[in-house]
Amino acid sequence: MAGATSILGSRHNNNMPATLFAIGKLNSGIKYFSLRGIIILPNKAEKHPVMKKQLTLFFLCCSCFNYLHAQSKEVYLQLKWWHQFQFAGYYAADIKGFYKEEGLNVRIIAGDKDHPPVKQVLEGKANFGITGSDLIVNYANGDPVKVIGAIFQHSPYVFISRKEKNIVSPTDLIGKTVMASEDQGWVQLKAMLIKEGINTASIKIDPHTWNNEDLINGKADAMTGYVSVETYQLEKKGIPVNYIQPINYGIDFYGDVLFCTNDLANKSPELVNRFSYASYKGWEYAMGHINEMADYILTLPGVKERGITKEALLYEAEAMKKLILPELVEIGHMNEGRWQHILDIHKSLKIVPENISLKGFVFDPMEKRNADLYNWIIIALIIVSLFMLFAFLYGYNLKNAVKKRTLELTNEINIRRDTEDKLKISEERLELAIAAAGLGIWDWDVQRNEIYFSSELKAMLGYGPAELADTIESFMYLLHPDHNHEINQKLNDHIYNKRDNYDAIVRLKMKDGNWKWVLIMSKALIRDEQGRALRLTGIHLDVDKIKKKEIELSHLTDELMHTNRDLQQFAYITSHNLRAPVANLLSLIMFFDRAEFSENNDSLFEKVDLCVQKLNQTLNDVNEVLTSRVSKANQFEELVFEKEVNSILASISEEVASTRTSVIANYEVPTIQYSRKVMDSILINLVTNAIKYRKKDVDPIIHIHTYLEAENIVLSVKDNGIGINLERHGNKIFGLYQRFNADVDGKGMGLFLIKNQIEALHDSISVSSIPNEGSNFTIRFKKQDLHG
Amino acid sequence: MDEPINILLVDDDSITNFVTSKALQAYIPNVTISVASNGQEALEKLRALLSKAAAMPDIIFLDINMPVMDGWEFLNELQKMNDPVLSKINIYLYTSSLYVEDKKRAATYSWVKEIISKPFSKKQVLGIVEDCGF
Repeated sequence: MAGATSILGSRHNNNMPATLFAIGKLNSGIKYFSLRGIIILPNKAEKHPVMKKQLTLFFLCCSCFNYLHAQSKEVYLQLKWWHQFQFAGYYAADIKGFYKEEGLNVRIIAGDKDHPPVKQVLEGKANFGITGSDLIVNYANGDPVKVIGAIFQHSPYVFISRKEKNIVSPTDLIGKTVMASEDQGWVQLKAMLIKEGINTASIKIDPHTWNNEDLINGKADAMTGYVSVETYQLEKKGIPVNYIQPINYGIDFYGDVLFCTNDLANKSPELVNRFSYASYKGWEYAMGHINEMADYILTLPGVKERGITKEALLYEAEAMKKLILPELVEIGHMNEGRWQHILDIHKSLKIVPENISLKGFVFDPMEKRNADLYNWIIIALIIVSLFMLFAFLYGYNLKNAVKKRTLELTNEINIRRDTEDKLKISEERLELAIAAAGLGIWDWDVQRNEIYFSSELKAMLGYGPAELADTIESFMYLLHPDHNHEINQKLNDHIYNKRDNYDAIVRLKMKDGNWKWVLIMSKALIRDEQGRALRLTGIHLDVDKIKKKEIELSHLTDELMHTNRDLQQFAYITSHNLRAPVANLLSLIMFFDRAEFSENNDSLFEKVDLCVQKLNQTLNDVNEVLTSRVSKANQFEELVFEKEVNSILASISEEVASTRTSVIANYEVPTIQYSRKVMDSILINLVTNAIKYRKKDVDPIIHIHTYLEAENIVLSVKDNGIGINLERHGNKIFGLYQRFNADVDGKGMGLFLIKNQIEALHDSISVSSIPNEGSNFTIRFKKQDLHG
Repeated sequence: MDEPINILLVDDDSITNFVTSKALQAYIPNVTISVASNGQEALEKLRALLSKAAAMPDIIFLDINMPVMDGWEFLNELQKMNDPVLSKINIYLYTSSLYVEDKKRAATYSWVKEIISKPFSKKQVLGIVEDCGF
């Protein structure tokens, strides 16, 4: 074991901050308050010669303090497996002197089949051990173990198989031979199988030889292994592999955890704290200095001999990042809830009895212990007496200096706490906003092909926070094939062609197999020199309801358009096929020689003639309606109201004269931009109606008035005729073939026709009327510029 | 007006042909009327006249909607024949259709002098005769 730390080294000045660390590092296991970055005492102290002197004494005292602890014993750490990057953090803590700073002399023991870590620790052959989350089984079986911290937030265990076996999901394992080892991640892999409804009896399990050749030559179809190790070894040999990861099936266990015996945890919690603190510090260092650590690991016994290369170690390190999440999670962090979940899975698989509780399994660094207390009292006494000595020797200078420094420290802590609080509040606000909007967030590191999918994004599609692999492939898998082309093109543009934003509305597959419409928005954050996007981030918004409504509406519109076309076609055929015989009838009647008719026949024939004439007129009207509806080709031109009215009156001058009709006109608005055809149709209909429905004993007077009203030009045609009982007839008056006066011969077509024409141009007509006083028709035209 | 005006009616409705003939005979003093019941028959008639170098119709009243070959197809075929003798014929579309689309389509055939809605009046017939230079 290289670089074991000497106890004497603890007299070094640096011990001062290190000791403070150890106190500050006492952590709850869930959230802890770290003083790192604040302790800058030694450097600053050098600027104050007097203080330096005083502090030297103080350090001496603290060395005593450390000495008390460091004195205890050498510490042995039993690794779970042989030397590889999996344990880089402990090597770093060792060679970088972090253990030494804590006054520890640590010996690291490589693991193998003959050195199972739990057994080694229980038998007292090591103080600390590294093992998997199956430690919980040992605990449940009554072994006095305590878990101190989790290094791997996710378990590296996977089923590995050769690609050509096509084993891509747990069900593919049925009937296959699998190499596995009870104490190497088997529980979580089994839990995944059971969760997927697979009977483990349907899989043939062979003891694990830990020899990749057995997989290569087909002795086994699949084997358990590390996603960070065996997959690489096989790929490197030119054997492409598939692997099945429990995390994708909702089974998410901790990977490597640090543990010790109950006894050690209870009697020397501060030793446990110092050891774990230095180890985590080592991990932080190792994950930040992968290259350096890989070089070091190659020098460890047995590493080169096993044929491990630097490249393999670097690969392992990269794969481990996903499991350790050093940027996101404080190394060592554990959550009781997750342990409870892991325990529950074990219970549901009947691996541990139902009555086991988690209490006592997780090491609590803050727990008060009597043994501990005793130590602390002694330490406190020594410190207090030394302080008194200082005070006696140096008066209050030191006291003041300490006071000042303490004040500065307190201020720094307060400022920091304040900033943290503010940050927390703004984070909370953002979270609230995201939750309120139901936004899913993703963040894609294009080069590494790593995507972060927020749990909201997963939940939107029915997946749990631990489901879905964090790669672009899992997105492409979710994407409806209809959008493949569009998305590929857009992404291409987005990544390579400097298009900084893109959005798309696509269907994504939900866990239950249904499709959901989702709006994707993306923004490219970083580009390299060639303009290639390195990082994209964006949101998913559930637009399923809106999109489905939109589709429904568009179907409806299509249907309506279709119906409309059919109706027009129908109307066309009907009118055409009806018109032909009617036209013939008209001609035939004309050629009839009525001279030889009897009087009776002649009057009957007269009525036949009348019927045919009416039929012909009706057909012409129907055609007119169709034509005005269909042809948008109504030319707009400037019309002078007065001219139009006069030409209409001229065309019916006989009728006007014979009924002694007078027209009083007031053109406040003299002209309008409108279709002459429609205007003439309006005028002729309204004027003839006014004459037709006149009172028997009163000469008809028609008031024609044009004026402005807000956005409209208004034309009103008012008569003094018999009026219409609107309460009774309401708007039926604009219906087809509605006549309201039996005394008058009208075909009831005119109003329907002009209403149609007016509305086709997006204008409106309305009527007010008092029976026996007259009617007033009002047409509101949009102002000319609005007609387009 | 020594020579009679030669008119060809193309319509699948025999009553229409009867009525139209009657009307034309009533309105035009010296007229010869022949009848074809669809475009195909009319074409054959014209081809036969061409081969015999006989007198062509002066006016054709052409219905649009007909079985076998409709009015539009007839016009297309006639245009394809591209015969100077044929091009002297005055063609009127004579239809019961009031459909705007038909009117628009008729306007695309320069050969068609006018589209007339059934039934025509005496005034219209006399106008046509005059337009055709009789």
